[in-house]
Amino acid sequence: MDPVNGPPKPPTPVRLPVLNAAEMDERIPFVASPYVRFAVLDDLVNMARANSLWPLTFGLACCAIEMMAAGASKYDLDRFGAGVFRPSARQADVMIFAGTISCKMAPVIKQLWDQMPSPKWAIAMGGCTIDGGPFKYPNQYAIVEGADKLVPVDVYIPGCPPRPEALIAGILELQEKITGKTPKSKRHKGKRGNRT
Amino acid sequence: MSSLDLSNLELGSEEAEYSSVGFHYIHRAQAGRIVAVAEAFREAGYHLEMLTAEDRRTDLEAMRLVYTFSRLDQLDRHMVTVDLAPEIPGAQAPSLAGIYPAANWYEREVFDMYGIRFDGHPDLRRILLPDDVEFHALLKDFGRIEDAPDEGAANK
Repeated sequence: MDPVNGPPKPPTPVRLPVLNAAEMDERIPFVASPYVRFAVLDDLVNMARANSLWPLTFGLACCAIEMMAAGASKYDLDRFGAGVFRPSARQADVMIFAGTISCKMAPVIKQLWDQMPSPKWAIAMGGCTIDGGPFKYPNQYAIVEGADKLVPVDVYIPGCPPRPEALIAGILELQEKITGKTPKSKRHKGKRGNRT
Repeated sequence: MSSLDLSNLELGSEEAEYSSVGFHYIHRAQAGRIVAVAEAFREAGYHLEMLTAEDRRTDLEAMRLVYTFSRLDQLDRHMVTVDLAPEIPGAQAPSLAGIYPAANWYEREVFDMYGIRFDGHPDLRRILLPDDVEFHALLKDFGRIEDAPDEGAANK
């Protein structure tokens, strides 16, 4: 026995904090990601996902015309692996909100989104899907003011409508978001050229 | 196919200047007679070109239905107006869906936008607005911009 300190004290038990869901969200920045990460495999899978983004064949208004142009031969979305428009939500990875979202259409859109298997992404194309765009005015009754009122949106593309190049830029931005790396096709000379 | 016979229908008919108003005749019918009027047009080979309504509650104290009949083999366009009671809900008219199938969706649209009900319509549901809303969007007293709350309350 130690004459100075007396008998040894039992070690303080380690108490793990019990967190509720809100505290979990606060402490763990990205809950949806798995706790065990297979880093290299993840990178590989994400690369595959990013380079084969299959959008849903789904147009809401005039932006869809630009989306079709982007998919056709002149702009050729297939160069980026995103030209395979799927006619079924079950096969699609990305929903491109191309046009005005009316209140009448909103439940249908939500259902399609829920039918898409994860992982899935949403691109808001054009002013209407960002905040209601030209159809937003006090007391309006017909329009959902922004796609993010329905689903979580990954990339916003401004424009009315955006040109096909802008949609392609949005797809590349989404690829960058998925892989964490700037895609090769986006590395051009200039300010962003040095990023890898 | 017989020729158009609108006598005995108590229409207030007048000839119109086609080059300025786009119609050869403008008729005013009573709501109870519109089925007979439509039958007469149908008999003579006219089609229902359009059905819409006007909110004339402030100036004429009436909800007004506007029917347009025309034919393709000759240029002859007729407009028939029907004044209804100015109450919404309450204004009612007979349905033409049994005579002109095209009237089915037109009447649904008029009901949707103006709240006028059609007697004998097989399926009088909203057609453009969401099913669960409780307003009729084209009435003059609905959704005025100056009545809106100041900020961000535009969307429900």
